[in-house]
Amino acid sequence: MSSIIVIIVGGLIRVAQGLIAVAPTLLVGLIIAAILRYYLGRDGTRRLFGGDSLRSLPQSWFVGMLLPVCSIGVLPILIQMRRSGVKPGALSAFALSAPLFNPLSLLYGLTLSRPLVIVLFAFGSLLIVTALGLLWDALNRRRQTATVESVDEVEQRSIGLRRLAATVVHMARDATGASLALTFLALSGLAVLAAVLPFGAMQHSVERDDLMAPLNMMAVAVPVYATPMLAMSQLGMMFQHANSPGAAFTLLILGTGMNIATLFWFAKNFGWKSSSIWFVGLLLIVSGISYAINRPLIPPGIEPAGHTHAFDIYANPLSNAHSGLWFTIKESIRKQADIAGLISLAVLVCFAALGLLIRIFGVDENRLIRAVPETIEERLSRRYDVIVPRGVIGVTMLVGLVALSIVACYAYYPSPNECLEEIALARTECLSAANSGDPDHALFWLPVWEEWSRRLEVGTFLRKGEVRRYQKMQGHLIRKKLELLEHELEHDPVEPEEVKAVVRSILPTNTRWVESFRIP
Amino acid sequence: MRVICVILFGVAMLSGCFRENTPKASLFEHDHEVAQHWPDDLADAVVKIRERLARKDNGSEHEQEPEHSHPPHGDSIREILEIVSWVPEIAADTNLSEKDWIPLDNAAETLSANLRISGNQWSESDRKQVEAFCHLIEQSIPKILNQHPSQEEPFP
Repeated sequence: MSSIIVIIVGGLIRVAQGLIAVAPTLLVGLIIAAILRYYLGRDGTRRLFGGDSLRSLPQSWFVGMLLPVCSIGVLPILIQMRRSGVKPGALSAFALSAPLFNPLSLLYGLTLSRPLVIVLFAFGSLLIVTALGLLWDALNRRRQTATVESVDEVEQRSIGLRRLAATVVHMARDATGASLALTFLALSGLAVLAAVLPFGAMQHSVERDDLMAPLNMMAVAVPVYATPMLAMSQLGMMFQHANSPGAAFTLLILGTGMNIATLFWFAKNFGWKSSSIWFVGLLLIVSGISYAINRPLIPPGIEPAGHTHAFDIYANPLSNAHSGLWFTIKESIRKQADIAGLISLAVLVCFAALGLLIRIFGVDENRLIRAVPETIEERLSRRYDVIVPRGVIGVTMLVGLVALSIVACYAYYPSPNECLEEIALARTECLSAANSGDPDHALFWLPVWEEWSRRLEVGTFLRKGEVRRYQKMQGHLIRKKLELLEHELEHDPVEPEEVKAVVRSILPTNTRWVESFRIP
Repeated sequence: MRVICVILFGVAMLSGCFRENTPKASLFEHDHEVAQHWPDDLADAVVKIRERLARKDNGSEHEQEPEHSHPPHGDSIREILEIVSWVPEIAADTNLSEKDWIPLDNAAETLSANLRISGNQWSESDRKQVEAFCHLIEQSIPKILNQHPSQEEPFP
């Protein structure tokens, strides 16, 4: 396969994968932006993010931790926050913290290495957003850029179904406007990386004894777009392989917390100079913390694997050795295409189509303003049909969203017995395919098995409050052996006897692992 | 912007994106690196720890001499620490029950923490703790029940 084709097609694959990955959280971002506009309103939004008070930075960080968005999904919210006149410091705090953690990824993270590591990472992110927020506000005071837009009539006067319709129109317009352009800008970072990093190029760049590991990661992490769950799973692999903890922290803050579009948006709205100072400040703080924690956070008792596949996803998915271009494209996208991503993508496409129609026909939310203001007689005639203040509805919606994501945690991480049923299915498919010489089928089910092994631990943690050390150790062993099996299956040509030897060693480990989690 | 493009192009060239048709037998040429002193099983862990203890003691004796020609014994100490921290994993990969695994895990964790604090300056107490740990491993070995021969393959 020619190198140019590898670069172009590899880049397009990464963009397509990114589009599927971003769809759920971008959709959530569009919903939150519309809620901020038509339910919380300008004043409510400013209050939510701490207004002009000193607590605006930690408050924005905290709100960001609760909302399930990624570094692209946060962009429509940022646009709306800016319209509402939220301080730049709070904007930067929210922009960086919201994508880092959400209830799903935080739970996942707590079961990875030692829980203390993730708590420290969260605390580190608070330090960073506070320091940068203060810097940003100081820069802004000098520039005095008052940017609060006047309150529009739709925001003030729409109610009931009209307000709901305005929300939908707002989301549809957003789905075809700046948010869409910023999404593609952010995803273009993945294409650039695929062009720059050949297949498997990151496998040895973040070893724990490599002093350059945090800096290597920094170079890659800025153009990276990673969802919080992806970053957490990569952190898990890094801890499993005893890679550099500093590089893991850099990936979390820069890879998950921001992307090219975040930087571009700040520069466009607050000037290139201020944004450059902010960005350099961010890099300095992140690298400082990364090197400070690099040695102390090395997990004890883990033998370095000498490489990692955690970052293969940022390098080009194709190599010159790959054959069957269409098959590879199809497989690469199929692996990413989970049900949540596909449904969200379909909904987003519907919103985008609606947005295009709205733009073509020149419809906007102003048409939804109630023509005649309500008279006192009308208001009195309502009696018990009270008009609930829109702020109350807005806060209820946001709290509902957070509650929904907590409920989603229980759905995403089911009970141990349910996980074990899924694992049994994946194990049967994977091992029988491996033993019968069908590596492609085995390689499809192997990550499914591995993913369920993590969900099993989180599901247990959610319901029991702890994962026993023995259970964690058995989980570590099964994942280690699954990775060895993956290596054997990836070998070209596959050596059947080697594969069978690994399968034989997996079976007793699997029995012990499953038994340790089984609830009688 | 132009500068960024030039830099990215340069990095792409350096990283070998444009190499033509390099033959490649496998997409994963790098298997897991396994430390040479990774024990085959618990019994081997005891042997390896004791070997290094002896080597360390010999090294210490020679260090008393003004011009000793032996290598520093820091490597032995580091390797003992590593083997101690690997014991819970090796034990978990046997049929040792969870009840019998927990004391080994606790002892390994405590001993690793103590040895890390001691660094290269071991006290007599450190040495005794390592001996006691070896003894604990030996006591655990008979508790491994009915391990099928095919399950006994060392798998680091």
